[in-house]
Amino acid sequence: MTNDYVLAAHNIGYSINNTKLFKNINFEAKKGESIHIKGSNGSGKTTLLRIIAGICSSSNGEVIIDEEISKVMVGHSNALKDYLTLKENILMDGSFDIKDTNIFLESLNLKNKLELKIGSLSFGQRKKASLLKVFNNNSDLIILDEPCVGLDAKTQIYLIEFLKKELAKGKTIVYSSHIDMNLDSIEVYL
Amino acid sequence: MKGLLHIELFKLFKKIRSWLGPVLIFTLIIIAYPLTVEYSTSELAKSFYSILWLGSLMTIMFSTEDIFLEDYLDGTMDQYIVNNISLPLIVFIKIFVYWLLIGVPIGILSFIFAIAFTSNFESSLLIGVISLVVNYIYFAVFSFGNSLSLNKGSLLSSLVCLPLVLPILITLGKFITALEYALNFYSYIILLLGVLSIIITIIPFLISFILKAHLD
Repeated sequence: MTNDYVLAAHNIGYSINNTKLFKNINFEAKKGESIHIKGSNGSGKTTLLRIIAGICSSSNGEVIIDEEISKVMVGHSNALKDYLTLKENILMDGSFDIKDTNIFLESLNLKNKLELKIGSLSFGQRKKASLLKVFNNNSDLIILDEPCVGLDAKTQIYLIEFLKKELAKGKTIVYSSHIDMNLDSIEVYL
Repeated sequence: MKGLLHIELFKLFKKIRSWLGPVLIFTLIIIAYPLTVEYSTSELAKSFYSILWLGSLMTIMFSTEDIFLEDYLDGTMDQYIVNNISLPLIVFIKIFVYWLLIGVPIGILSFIFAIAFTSNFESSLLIGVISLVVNYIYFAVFSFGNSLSLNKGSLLSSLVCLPLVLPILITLGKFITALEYALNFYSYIILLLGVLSIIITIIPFLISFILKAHLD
């Protein structure tokens, strides 16, 4: 990809049943930059993030992502299996093991929940478990859809501090949030 | 691929109801069948095969109901795409794992029941092998049906796919006739293996295309 951009969106538009959800969205992000996607409920924030992640296609325009970079995404669906324990879910991910995850499990107060089934955890605990993907991942592009929803104040601060460190390391972050995460982000309004 | 196979196997194995249930239902159908009719032993053996094929067909049709639905709803499928994991490969592995935990036990049970009903080891062994082949075809066809109406009640499309397996049932009928009258039955086996090879190749790509359309 040219001119140092990790991610570039040109004239992105999305329509459902001939109704335009959003149109002409443009932004670019370099290494160490973050994009904050803002908008009211139903404005298409999740859809835009899914387009960036490559899960769905835009109706117009194009998203260009550096082919060499790796991505991680945490959205509203947490990709956790209710019938498996937290430990089994972590091991099943394959990209990290329990030893590497220990520090995050302690910080998120999940260490004593390892043998519990995901189905028995609270919404906030499940959200923390899904965020382990981000904490214990070395991807260059981090995509987060409302990452603070369901998290207590302490975990929100922990997450924000973690993301600031990741930005300092040169990672790129694209996120949607109704709260200001103070990441010094480029703002995109839908 | 080994890692993905291990994960999918682990996931299905942990959902005991999803794989043990169909195997038990199939067993119940075959065991209950002679209790409901008053045939002599020879007559029982004649109609046994049709119960066997229909039993495995219906069992597999119901067992594939959530083959893709769970991963679609909980965001696992999104993660496959984000992590650049090949969807056709995932589809192939999922069908294979379902066949391994449900189709293979049904195939083994078919062999055991065939011995019990016909008292002929050689033909029973053939029935077991054919059952393994046909079960994979059923899994692939019904998985295709499920993918068509993933978020609108997947069983409906499985029913729509039912006519697609009628030629397989007809072939099985011809195979049994050839087997009973000591005619050449190898052509039917080759035909079924041909269908299997086409299905193994094409179905994962078809289903992954449909799944991607659902995610869009």
